[in-house]
This record gives sequence, structure tokens and C-alpha cells, in this order.
Amino acid sequence: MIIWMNGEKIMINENSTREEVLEAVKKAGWYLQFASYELKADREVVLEAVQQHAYSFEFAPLKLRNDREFVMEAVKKNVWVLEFASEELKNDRELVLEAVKQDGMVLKYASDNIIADAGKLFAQYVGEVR
Amino acid sequence: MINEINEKSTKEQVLEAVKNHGDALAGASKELKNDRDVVLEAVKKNGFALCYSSLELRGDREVVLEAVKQLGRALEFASEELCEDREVVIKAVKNRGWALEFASEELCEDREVVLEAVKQDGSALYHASEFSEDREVVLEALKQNVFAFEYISSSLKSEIVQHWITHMEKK
Repeated sequence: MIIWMNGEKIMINENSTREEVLEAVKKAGWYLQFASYELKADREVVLEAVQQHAYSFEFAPLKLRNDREFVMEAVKKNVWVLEFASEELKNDRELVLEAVKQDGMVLKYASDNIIADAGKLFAQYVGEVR
Repeated sequence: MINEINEKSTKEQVLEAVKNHGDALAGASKELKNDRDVVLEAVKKNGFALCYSSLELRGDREVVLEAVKQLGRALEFASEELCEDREVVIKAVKNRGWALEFASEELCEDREVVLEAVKQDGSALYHASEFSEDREVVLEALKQNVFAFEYISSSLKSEIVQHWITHMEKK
């Protein structure tokens, strides 16, 4: 895959080295999709990528998207990666708390469970203040 | 049975057929698609059959009421006038909240209509942006379907989230 960016030719494929991929994802996170499987699972590479574009997390293997410690770190870099975390982690209250403390709007990517809970809590509160 | 109905089928044949499958109306003659007895039987069986009936009957209150009672989204095929009819629209949204999409603008701003719609399907809040900040409407919608969260005003969303954060941090 060859892409021209600001007059500069960037080529990333399965044979690209770690250094090449790192350099590319620092420019645009979505280059991650063209990298080898090993590099898509490389924590440092993925962290750099998601810092640029949250959705590049989609190209990382599920194993990484289900890695609580890693996702916690990624959320601190870019809160919108929550959308691409595993279903299990979207239902992790501590992780979601960390995310919504940075930007409340990201709650929409939490599990249905958590959104329903937040709604119920607020309904109780509104009932009390009435 | 549906296949047996064509433009030459008699009223008796069509009546018999639509009692089993409302869709059978599709093949009937123009005259029978404008026959009140036939169309009433068809929409009672399948509200969707309203789309095969004559334009005249799509403006017939009783026919449309029967259709939306069976399938709320049949409101799509009702006359413009009936989409402004409060009773018709309430009956439709009680069956399928999302049918609010086909109600008149005025009724999408009617609190009672919207409440009925979101109680049946929370995501119907999408068609009632006027109420995206109305706590009662929003909480009813959210209770029915968390998907409604998407359509809540950002200020109310923030309130809900802040409240959840405070609660979580107390633990």
C-alpha cells in the first residue's frame, strides 16, 4: 500500500520493519492496518497509532483489545479507543470510569449494562429531588 | 392462496384469502382494493396491507386505525391528514414507537404522543429532538432502550454521566 501524504511517499506492508511502521503510525494511525500481524499486536506501535486515530485500535488483535492493562493505558492516551475495546472491557466499570472522567460523551461506547445503570441511578436521583 | 388471487378473483375469493394473508390484497382488482370490507379484513390480518389499498381508503379513519393497531408502522401508508390525527398516531406508536417517524411534525412535539412512543421503543427519541432535554421523556426512553442515550441532549448526557461518576467514586 503506497500513500502520498503531504508530498511524502509512505509505503507500509506486511514486510515493513518496526521502525517504518512506527514512523508511519505516528503520522497517521490507520497505517496500522497494513502492517504485519506481529506489529499489529505490538503494544508500543498500537499505542502510537491510537494516539493519532482512535479507530486504528480496530486493526489490533482482539487479544490486545481485551487486555485490561493495555486498554487502560490506551484510554489515557485517547479516550475514544473504548469503542474498539472488547465487549468484556466495555462492561468494566473501573475502565469506563477512567474513560468518562476524561470525556463523559464516551459513555455511549460502554456496555448496555453500564448505560442502563447510569440511567437508573439518575432516574432515582431525579425521583428523590422531586 | 396468495398466488390464486388475481384481478379476476371475486370479492368472496379475495375476502377468504385476505383473512389468511393480508398480503393477498396485492393481487386483487382495483375495485376490490377500494372495497372497504375487503381492505378492513386485510389490514386486520396484516397492517402492512394498507399499502395495497386505494388512496381513498388510506384516508379512511377506521381502516387506518385497524391497520396501525395491527402494525404501527403502517402509519407510513396513511393519508397525510390521518398522520396529523392524535388518536391514530397514539395507537400506532403504542404498537411500534418508531412509527413516530411518520407522524406530523406537530405530533412529534406532543409530549403525550412522544411518551407513548419511547415507552414502546426508546430509540423513537430520535424523532422527537424537542424532548432530548426533557428528563421524564429521556429517562423513559433510556429505561426501554439504552440506544436512546445517543439522542439525549449533551447537557443532560453530561448530568447523567456526572451523576454516575460521583456514585462510582463514592464506592
